[in-house]
Amino acid sequence: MISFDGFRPDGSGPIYMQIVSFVKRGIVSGEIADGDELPSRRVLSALLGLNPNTVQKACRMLEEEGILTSHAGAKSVVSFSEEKRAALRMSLVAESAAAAALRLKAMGVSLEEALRLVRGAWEEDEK
Amino acid sequence: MLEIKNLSKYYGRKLALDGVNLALPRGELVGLFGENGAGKTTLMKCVLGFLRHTGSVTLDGEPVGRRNIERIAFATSEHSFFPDLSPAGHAEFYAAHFPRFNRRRFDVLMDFFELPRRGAARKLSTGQKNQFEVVLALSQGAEYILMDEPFAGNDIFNREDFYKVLLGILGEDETVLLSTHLLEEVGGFIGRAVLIHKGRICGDVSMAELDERGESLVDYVKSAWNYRAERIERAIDELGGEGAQR
Amino acid sequence: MDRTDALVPPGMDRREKLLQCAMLLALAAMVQLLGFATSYFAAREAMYVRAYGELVEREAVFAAFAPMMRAGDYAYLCYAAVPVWLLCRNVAYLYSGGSRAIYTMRRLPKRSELIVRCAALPALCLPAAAAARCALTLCCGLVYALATPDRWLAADAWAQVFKAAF
Repeated sequence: MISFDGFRPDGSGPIYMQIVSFVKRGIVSGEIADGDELPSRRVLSALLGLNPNTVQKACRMLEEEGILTSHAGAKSVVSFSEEKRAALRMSLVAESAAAAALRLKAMGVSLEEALRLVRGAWEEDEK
Repeated sequence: MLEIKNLSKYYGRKLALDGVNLALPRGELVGLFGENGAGKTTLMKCVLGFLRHTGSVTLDGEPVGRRNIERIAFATSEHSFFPDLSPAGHAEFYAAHFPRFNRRRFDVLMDFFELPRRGAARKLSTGQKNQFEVVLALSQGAEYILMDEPFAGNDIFNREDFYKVLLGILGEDETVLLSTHLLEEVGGFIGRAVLIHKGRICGDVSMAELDERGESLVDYVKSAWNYRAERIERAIDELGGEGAQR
Repeated sequence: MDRTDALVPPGMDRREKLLQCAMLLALAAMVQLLGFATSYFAAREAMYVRAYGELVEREAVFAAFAPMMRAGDYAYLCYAAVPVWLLCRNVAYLYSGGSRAIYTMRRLPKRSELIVRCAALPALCLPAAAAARCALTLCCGLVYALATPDRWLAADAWAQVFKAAF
């Protein structure tokens, strides 16, 4: 069963999108494996303290993206292939990079300075 | 569907509710927001038939009366239990009077909140009284549950428990109208927000729509009451003008 | 506390309330009996007069029965406050204890429940008092008519008794 203990809603967009992101990040990081079960809508709704419609929306979105499959009863199972996971990883990575780039740009940072900052922070972290 | 049509209520000369129109379909969790004296409590009391009013309140087309009143439950911060009767006694009374009283749900909730079955209800702590009030309302077997600031006096952990228990225990067809001050807390729980101000409905939006617009509930409420902010600005301007002249 | 007694607001102890009403009624009855006893024996004494150091019977008619019941009548009149008090107590209960149980009572499918539970016992008080008064008046009347020597009694003694009782 997929755990939502680490789920922390913030102001970064509609809650159902944040749920979707949480699942995607879990897949990319490896915490969520192919075939892991998602708690039922009602349980998830109660666990997170969120309206069932919100949870339903998130689940529907995951289903549309092919990440979630509903089975008989209230069971939903996460399903993804390695390619899918790689693709998710790429899109999350691209999103992160784009967000950082736009933030720096909005503060008036030039491209060279941005690259310098990224390299600096990267190398700092490796120490 | 619980339909409130053109509901008006006068207290003497004072107009407490002014032509309120509200439709509650089954299964919705609706937050009712408004300042003190806006008419939240008056609205609920009119729906329940406690107060005389003009306009109509119907349940699936039929006026609210003896035959269908059991389909509406009520939990209030004023509390409505019998002070000298024990919780066990309440269960017995409810079972005798409400044909769809849900004994199992009553037991589950009592155990979850760790409430004692014996002892007079008045002996419970304030927090426990709030919990017991909600337990009764949820166990009545009603389809429409009206809750009037039910968490007054409970700490935040208690309140979070409440929301989660409600979400876990409510069926798809059960409707909740919850009036509260606690905008931020309740935003995730509700599916629809209704704003009432000076007896009039001044906002009615689904949370999904707010999501689409990227607007938070707090922002929506602020904008619905925008004219108040303008008044404050104007007053400050005028005062500032006086200061500048001196 | 754990069970709901019928005919009283939920949570109230019916036995306790019945006992209270009964004891107050007994008080009124006591006043009636004592009042009768004192006025009866006073009336008996009044049939004698002291003359030349001796008690002599008077040529008089024995005192009427009705005034002997007056103390009792006042007592029962006071008792009429009891059902009023109880009704108020019952209604006040639904607004007290840090709760507004009236909200629950007013949304019961059984509309009569509120009225029955508040007014049942108070309504019982009145016929109970009337019955007690009637029964005791007859008892006192029996004593009055039978224990008093016939030569003293007015001709319509029994009529007086029945008139006072009903």
